[in-house]
Amino acid sequence: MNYYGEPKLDRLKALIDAEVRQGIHSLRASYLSRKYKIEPALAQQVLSDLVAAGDLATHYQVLCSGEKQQYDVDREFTKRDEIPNYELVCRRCGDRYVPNEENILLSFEPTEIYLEELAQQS
Amino acid sequence: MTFERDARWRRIFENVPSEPLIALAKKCPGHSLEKLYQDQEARVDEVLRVCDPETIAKIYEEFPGPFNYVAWLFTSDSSLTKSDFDRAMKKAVGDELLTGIRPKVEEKPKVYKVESFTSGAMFRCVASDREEHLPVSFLEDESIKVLSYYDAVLHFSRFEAVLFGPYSATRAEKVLQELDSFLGISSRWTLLKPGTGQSRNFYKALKKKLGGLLVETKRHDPTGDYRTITLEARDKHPDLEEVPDFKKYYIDADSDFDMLEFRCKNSLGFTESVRVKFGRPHGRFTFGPNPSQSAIRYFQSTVSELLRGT
Repeated sequence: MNYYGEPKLDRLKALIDAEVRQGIHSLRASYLSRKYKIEPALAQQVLSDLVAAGDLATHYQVLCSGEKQQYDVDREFTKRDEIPNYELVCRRCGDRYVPNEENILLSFEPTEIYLEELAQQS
Repeated sequence: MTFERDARWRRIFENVPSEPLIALAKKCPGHSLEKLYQDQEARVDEVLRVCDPETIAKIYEEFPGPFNYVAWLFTSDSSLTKSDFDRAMKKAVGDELLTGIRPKVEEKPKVYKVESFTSGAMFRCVASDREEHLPVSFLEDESIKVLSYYDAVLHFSRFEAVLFGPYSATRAEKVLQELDSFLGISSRWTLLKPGTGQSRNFYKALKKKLGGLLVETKRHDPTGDYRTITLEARDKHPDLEEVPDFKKYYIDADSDFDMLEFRCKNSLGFTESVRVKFGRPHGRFTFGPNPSQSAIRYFQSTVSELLRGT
């Protein structure tokens, strides 16, 4: 995706391009929001648009929230609707938990197409 | 020896760190340094021998020793006063609960011991509310019901609660509901936790208010070769946020957990250093070994002030 035509969004897109050029392999809206002092919703919007354009891929990590939780990731998914909404048994510790908004982490990873596109631009 | 090695002795032996025991006993004439530095058993004997009853009572109250230090902090908008609470206690708590009973354990949490203190009380509860799946024979798991121990501290001046033991907010809320029904009161508890998307702001405000140090953290690693990275502070830079590399790469990254260290004064007059770890699930705080009740309440009032905006 090359441009938005809206200065605020274009600037953020350029910042994301720069992050990826510098070797960022995993982006989160909260990280961009803190680093560049922008609204998390705006960061989320641009990241989601980049997913739709095929530049980024979503990556979901589910943390076990059971008794023996060591803040480790139990399972990983590429789509939100793949995440079960029923009780799971943690593959690491055997605890039971239900994935919910507090233990699902969403990050965005650059696709090969996006990396190649950026390489060509520079 | 002028004292019994009773339940009180055991509780002090198991829960009170050596530093306050040594410092308190050293203030008393006739103490033996040899015994104070020998081992915990000799140290507790010596403290009970030389310290006055008031000091011993304070030590006992400060370190009640919950089953574990996983804590959920609750506040209440109930108009219940300390005298209402005392009346409810008098009605619900018989003499047998003050010494402790052997309860019939069920899925619903049952109070088996109540320890009263100046500003509130501690309720020790047990429930058979968990199942563990054990591989008992080849390719076969057996589901076994196991017990959970919960310790709830209900305290004033503002009516608040600290619940030790559960690993989920739902279970913590359930235990407090049972306590309300046991005491015949209506507390309308609210769990103290940051709202969605507010956890970093909460962390920053809490760190500032406590004057705390970030001593350990597990963070998402956006730039490096790792998905996450766990960092622990060393003596040279006791606060990770002061480390140049941390400031450059990880200060804005998401946390799986953060561990703060803060200092506060307890009712025994000592400044203690407390570690508390928090992250997901929000509202769950895990304290380092044997903090005093004063330290936990100081932490709770700080969290409460920040989240209630008072």
